[in-house]
Amino acid sequence: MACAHTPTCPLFSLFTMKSSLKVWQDHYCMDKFEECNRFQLAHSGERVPPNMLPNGRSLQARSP
Amino acid sequence: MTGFLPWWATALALGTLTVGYWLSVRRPLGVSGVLARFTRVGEELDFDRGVAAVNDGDQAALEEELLALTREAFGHVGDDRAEAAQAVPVAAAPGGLAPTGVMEPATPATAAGRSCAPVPPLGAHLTFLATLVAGGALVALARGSWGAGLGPDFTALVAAGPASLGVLAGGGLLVGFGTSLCGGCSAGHGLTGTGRLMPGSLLSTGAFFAAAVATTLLLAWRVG
Repeated sequence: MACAHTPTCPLFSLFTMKSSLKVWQDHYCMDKFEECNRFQLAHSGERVPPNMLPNGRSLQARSP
Repeated sequence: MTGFLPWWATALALGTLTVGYWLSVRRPLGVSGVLARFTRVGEELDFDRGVAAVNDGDQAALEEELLALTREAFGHVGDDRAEAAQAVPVAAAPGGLAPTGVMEPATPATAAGRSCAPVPPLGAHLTFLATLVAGGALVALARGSWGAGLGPDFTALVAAGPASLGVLAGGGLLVGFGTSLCGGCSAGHGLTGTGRLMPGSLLSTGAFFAAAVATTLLLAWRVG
């Protein structure tokens, strides 16, 4: 069963950009979404940083 | 400018402002939530940086970093999806950035099932608070009521001198505690929440009014 947040999760669409990133979707979004830090935060009613990956690591800001 | 506007004009203005705000920016209008953001400025700035990283950052650098983190998590990056799907990610490294942000669900939905707009940057809310103070100051100046004191009514009903500052500080603490506890203040629950018929807001506003009536009656009895 897929994660219910896939339609609104900004990272889900980001992971679609390259096939090499689809491993995130396969592992978390489509399978073990209960282990996803984003899912856990959302489930506890907290705001989810858009740059936080499912394993809790964060993408850092860089100037264009 | 003297006196106050009629109650119905104020109600109409507040209703228009609250509903108009929601319709135009898709955000609930509240003050305590904005203030609360400034009690955790570090976390909020981290969150804003995260938004900028995804939305405004160098997309090539973002992709490169994402690939690096994918390698770190799964041990490899390749097009062999079957193999990759079997990979087990390592746990997030200690010291990695902690998840930030509180107070609001990731995808808060309206009663009609529509989501709120994203939380604006901290600078936008700082502007909101600054203009809130400026607006109050302008009205006080226009009415000629600008001054250091809290007025004769407050002195007669509550306290005078340094004691009044203590009463205000205690009241402020209680308001901050209460609004954090119930997720909003009289503006958020009383205006926005009740305007959208949210059950929690209706209950909270009922409690606000009951407490306000009881306090007013108590003060009136004390003053005689």
